[in-house]
Amino acid sequence: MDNIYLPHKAIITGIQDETYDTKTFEFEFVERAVKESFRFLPGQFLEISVLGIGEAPFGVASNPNHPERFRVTIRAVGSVTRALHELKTGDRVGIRGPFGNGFPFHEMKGKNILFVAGGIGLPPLRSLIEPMLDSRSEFKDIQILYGARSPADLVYTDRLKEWEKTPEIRFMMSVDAGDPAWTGNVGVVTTLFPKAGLRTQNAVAFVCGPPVMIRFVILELLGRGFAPENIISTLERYMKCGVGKCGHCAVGHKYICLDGPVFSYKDMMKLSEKVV
Amino acid sequence: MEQVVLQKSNLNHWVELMHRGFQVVAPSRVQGEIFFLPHAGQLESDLLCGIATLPYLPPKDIVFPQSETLFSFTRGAGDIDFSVPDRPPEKRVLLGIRSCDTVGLNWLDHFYLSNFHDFYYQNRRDPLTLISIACTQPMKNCFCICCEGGPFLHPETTAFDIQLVDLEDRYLVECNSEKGKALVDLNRNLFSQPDPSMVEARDQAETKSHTRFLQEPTSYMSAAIRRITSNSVPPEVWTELGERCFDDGGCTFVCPCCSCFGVGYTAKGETGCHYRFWDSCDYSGFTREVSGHNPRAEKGERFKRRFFHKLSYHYVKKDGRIGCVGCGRCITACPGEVGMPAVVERLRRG
Amino acid sequence: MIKNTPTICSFCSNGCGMFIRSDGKEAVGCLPMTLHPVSEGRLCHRGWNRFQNLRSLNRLSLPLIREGSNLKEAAWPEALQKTTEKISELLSRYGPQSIGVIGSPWLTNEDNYRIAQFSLDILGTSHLDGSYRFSGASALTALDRLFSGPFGSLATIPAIAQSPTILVIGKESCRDFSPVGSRLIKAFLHGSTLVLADPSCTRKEHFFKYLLPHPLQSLAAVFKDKESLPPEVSTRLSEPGLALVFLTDQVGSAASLLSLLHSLSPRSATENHLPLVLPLSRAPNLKGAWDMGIRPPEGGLTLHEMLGEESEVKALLIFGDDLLNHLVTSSMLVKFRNLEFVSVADRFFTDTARMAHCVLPIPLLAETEGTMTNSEGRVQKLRPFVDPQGESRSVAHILQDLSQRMGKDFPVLSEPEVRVEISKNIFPYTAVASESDLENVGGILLPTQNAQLPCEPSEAEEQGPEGYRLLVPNTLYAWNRNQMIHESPVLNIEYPGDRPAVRMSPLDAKELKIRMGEKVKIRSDRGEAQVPVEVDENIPSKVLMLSSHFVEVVESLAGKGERDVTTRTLFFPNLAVTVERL
Repeated sequence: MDNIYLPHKAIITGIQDETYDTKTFEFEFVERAVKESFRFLPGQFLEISVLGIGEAPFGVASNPNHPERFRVTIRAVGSVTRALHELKTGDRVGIRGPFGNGFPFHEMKGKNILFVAGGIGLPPLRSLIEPMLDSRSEFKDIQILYGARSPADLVYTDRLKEWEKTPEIRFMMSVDAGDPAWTGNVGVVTTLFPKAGLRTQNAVAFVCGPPVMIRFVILELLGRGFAPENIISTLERYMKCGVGKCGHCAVGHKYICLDGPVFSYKDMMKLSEKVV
Repeated sequence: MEQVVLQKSNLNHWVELMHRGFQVVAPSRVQGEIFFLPHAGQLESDLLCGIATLPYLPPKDIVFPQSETLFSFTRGAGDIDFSVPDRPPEKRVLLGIRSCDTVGLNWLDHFYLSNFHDFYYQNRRDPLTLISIACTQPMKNCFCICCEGGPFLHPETTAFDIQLVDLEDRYLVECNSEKGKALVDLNRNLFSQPDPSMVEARDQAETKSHTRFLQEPTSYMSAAIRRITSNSVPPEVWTELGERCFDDGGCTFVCPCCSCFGVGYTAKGETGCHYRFWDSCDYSGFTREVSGHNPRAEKGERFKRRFFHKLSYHYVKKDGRIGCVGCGRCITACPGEVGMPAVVERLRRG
Repeated sequence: MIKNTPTICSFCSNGCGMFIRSDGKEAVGCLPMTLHPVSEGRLCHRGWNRFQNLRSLNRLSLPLIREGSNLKEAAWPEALQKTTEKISELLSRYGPQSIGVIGSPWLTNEDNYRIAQFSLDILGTSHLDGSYRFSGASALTALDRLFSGPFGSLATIPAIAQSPTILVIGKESCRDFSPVGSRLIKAFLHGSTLVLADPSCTRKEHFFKYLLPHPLQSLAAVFKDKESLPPEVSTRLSEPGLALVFLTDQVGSAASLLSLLHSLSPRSATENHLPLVLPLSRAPNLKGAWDMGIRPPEGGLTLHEMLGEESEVKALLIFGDDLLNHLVTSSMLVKFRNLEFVSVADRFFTDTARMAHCVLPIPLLAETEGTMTNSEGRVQKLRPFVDPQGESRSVAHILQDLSQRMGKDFPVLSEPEVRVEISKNIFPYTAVASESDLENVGGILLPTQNAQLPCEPSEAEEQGPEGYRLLVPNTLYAWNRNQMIHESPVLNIEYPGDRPAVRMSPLDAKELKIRMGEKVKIRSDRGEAQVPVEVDENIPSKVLMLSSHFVEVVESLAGKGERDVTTRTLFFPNLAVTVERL
């Protein structure tokens, strides 16, 4: 019988500094059988443990079409994430998962897709953006709006440059506060909406970021004609087990780790507690 | 369901037979407290009759203990080794649990063995055979009859292995599963077939028991269920109830239908372990995120959440029943006198 | 299967009876005792989670000796030898008065008794005290005055439930001590009148009938001036059967408590009607340590004086206390850090241990047999669930070893033997010699004597002028600074750390146009400081709260604090201040 609480060993195969407090870790499972059978859906998350210190949930940020090595972007805010930041390539951690319901993918084919990401909200969305780009012809317009507090808080800067250049997607960025070198848009991400030329018909919006940002973006999108069932976001709660047993992430009668973390705005409104 | 008769004088004999293949766990008094302990020596027969008696903790403690190690680890030569604690080796008979606790175990079975199977729960639950005793007389705080948690078990609604019905000098033994039958098969000669008068006596015992239980202060759950489901309880009521709550977690720990846990991590040098322990949604840190943000910072909100989980129709649909069996333990454990009946009464008053 | 060891929770002065459940050597759970008079089948969230810190692997297993800036593990003989050498050196150079000994409210009665004997008979120093000098000694000194010496039980927790009127000082006295809170609620449900005195609350819980927005030190004056009270309160407070519940570490000066008790005790020629008094503490054995003599005899210095500017003390031998985190001014911290020698006997690697020259591991309270005296004056036995782990050694053995190395005899007596000594030498502990009585659930209640009320009340604190009032609650013993709490995953989250900030009501923040986190300048007649603000809707208007353990900020506002000459200690009173935005 599978033991859902026992982690699999994984080794850090690469570490990339993204910002002053954020790093992207690349992992590979140690046991070959696990490595070869591992699959995940965009939007799912992993429970990563630094043994003896703690375990925390992290959204997978890499392309599900290449699961043999996968990446997670982690900001150091608490004891587990700080401990992770101390680790080096070659160090081992425990990983359980993937858990959660993931973003809808196939149902999005033939539609216009809008991604609105704030700060550390871009990593989980990236697990959806990348496979969509792999099957680019199956989707209509793909637009990405990305905002961060400052230029120093932007993640995946190399990839962002590629997105700016490629004709496959329409990409715009903004920062709340610029710096002397910044020539782009200044303002919260919603300030991009009037200039973005949004496709609102036959469209789905994926929104990820800090709770305050999500709230304002959803209001904007509703105002521009997106239906609640076509606005898709993620809910966050303190999580422990990731498998719907420990009770910490329960909201209303749903568990964020089982019935989420991905919810449409319509489903969020049906939860018995105010969430956004 | 098979029914056979066991003379009470043969109970010890039957338990002796069980010892050959099982560890028998039965209620016994230690320093005035009732614990479920491995049986050795004389059974305490006054704890095995129709008069309700309950140990402080429900048998959830046996299948989902107050704390248990998930795994230990050793680091060495760049690698990590995990080791999961051994499964409990023996098969066990839990003799003398009550209807409310059996229903509670049903609830936990449904929770822990659905969606993802809980490995540790399964390992502890599988080797257990339950011998439940139907209650004919309530003790203080019993309100199982208001919660479909007793005093008698019915095979249509509750899974059980054996139910014993106290008929003065004998038990009617009701076997409802293969595990139960296996215990009776240990020696069929100890048992006799019931005659019609005995079945009649059993039904009368149940009716009398219902009458007695209904004489206790009762708890009208349906009004509370309705108000909670429709979210029509004024926030001031939750605030007031929250003021009586001391965030101790006692109610969640003693409740047969509470299942939340936290995980702790220990390490020294190259070894350590991850263990889980009972956690409580009463606690202010239960939902506090690393950033410091807490969706349920107010006590009233936590109190409301707990009763939403226990009584709302959303959960009744999901779990098949309300999250309360009427055992009354929360009444004992609560410093603020806001156990289930007090809360239900307050919600009814509006 | 699981073993259930009946013992007493040792987090706070409630002294709840509980079972520690263990599987082999591992603590796996806790249960309340249903028949115990204090716990009655209930525990608070500390008690329910007590077993978690017993699982921690962070405890000290071997002695440590300082080498330069590091502490290195060492064997016992070496550590004890080093300690003895240092002590002998100080004794010969400066004499016994250069050494201070610190006992602890986190040690048993027997261990504290031994420590007191060791200081006086072996070392010959009378500089003996505990960290409670700043967190409870004033209350105990006041009560000693009332009874002209050691006092017994002044109230039982179950009896509180029968009181027709209960005066609770400080919301935490109810919230943080659930056995007391539970009796308050029982009393409320039976029609008693509950009065809460707390200047830091806007709202009272529904079971309190009245909220008096006054701190303890002002209450005597408020009760005297009946005009300012609702009439019913005055009447009820002078009726017999009144119960008074308060936290000892919030009593600044002994005089303030004496004043209060005087005002609550209707005087008559023949009888004293002292109310039922329940002095609570966040340390489990405050009263026991005090009664066992952990305070300076004639000619000795209190902890405040030991760490004073002109003190002759050059070394401290600390037993069972995270002393560094229990000191009330920064100059004391400086003096502590500059001591020539500090030895620490403790269970976990605390901040104090980190600063020590020598660290000696002692058993956990859960591995100890011994007694503690709770806030009711109830002496109860702890029972170990497991033998002491690692290389820890009992206080008794450490003291014997040190004595032997100094050429003196300090025999190791068993706990029952020490109790016989205590029963002979310490009034009112006569009954503790009876092992069979101690075996009873609920232990032994120390006998109560008659109170001698002071002839006249001392001057009560003046009411401050209009403007802001800065409250400085004593937070030295706060749970978020307690190592046992840190070692438990759940409790560590329940008591998150706090930042140096002043808490202010949202109304005041709005009026001053201040946002959360912004700094304000606070000025008192003794100084000024710039402090960030945290908005807290539970705080009344024109009140600011600053935890006392942020010593630097408190000192810049309050200067050197106030001396209590009776208790020979220091405290920080509430201040009248002005606030301006930066």
